[in-house]
Amino acid sequence: MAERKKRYALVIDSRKCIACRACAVACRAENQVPLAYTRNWLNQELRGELPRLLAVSEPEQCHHCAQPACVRVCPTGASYQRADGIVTINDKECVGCRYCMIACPFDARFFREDRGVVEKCDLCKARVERGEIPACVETCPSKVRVFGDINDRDSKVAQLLATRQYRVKKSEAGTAPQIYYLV
Amino acid sequence: MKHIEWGYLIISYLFLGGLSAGLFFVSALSTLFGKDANVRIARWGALLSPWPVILGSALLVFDLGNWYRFYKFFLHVQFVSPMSVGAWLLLFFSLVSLLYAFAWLTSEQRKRFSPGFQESCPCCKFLMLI
Repeated sequence: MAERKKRYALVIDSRKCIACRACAVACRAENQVPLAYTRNWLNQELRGELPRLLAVSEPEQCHHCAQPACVRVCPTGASYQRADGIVTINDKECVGCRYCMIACPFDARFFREDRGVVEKCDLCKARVERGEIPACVETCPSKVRVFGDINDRDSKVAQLLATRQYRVKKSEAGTAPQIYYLV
Repeated sequence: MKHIEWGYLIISYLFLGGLSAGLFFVSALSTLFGKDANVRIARWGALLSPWPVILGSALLVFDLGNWYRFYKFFLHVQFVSPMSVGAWLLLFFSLVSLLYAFAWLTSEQRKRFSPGFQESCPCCKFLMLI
């Protein structure tokens, strides 16, 4: 039997998020991201008015879209999507034209002035290849993030998506984002 | 909504690219439809049009994060990427406008700028026909 195609994705239960930003710190340490930039971030907003005020915090990063706009517009093919769904950048091919940053609906990419290339979350592809989980997922103290292969029915992500309601951000952009936020 | 800032390199390129296209367009129009009085316009347009766009393309190259990797644009043809299509079009237009300018030189000037050029050589004749 042919091996099933992998499709890595993140499921985020943002109601569990305590806004400690450990994910951002872990990412910075794992991927050596300088302080001026970040590969993942926290969207915080206040909903409602006193006395019924709700503080919402929602982690976000590259959505590893199934139809990534950044890959489509890259003139040199430096941005590419791997067979397992991870959207990443080949540093040596990147000329630093920053077109992908304009194309990304989530603003998940940044330009490294010092290296002259664009960087973004790659779901810690080196860790994933070793069979580990991304640094942000591993470090999250309140288990907001769940990482896994959505094509594997026994995985935690597939089970969550089968049993819980979820939404994706900016589905109208047509890029089929693969970070699922549980409602 | 994110805010995109284009620096002076891009702004200058947009102006220079438009200038070249305009010169070429006016020159082509006066060549095709102009009477004898328009020959001067056609000639000046043709002789001037390659330079602004070449300068503008150089500015674009220096806007890149790694400008010395710009040759990678021409190792790939990605039709879905407007940036790639644009890079190829810029190259194509620069070459065409250079050839066009060359075609407007007098035969003495042609000899001076390119000693290898022979009016009788079939390749060069073909070049001039285009």
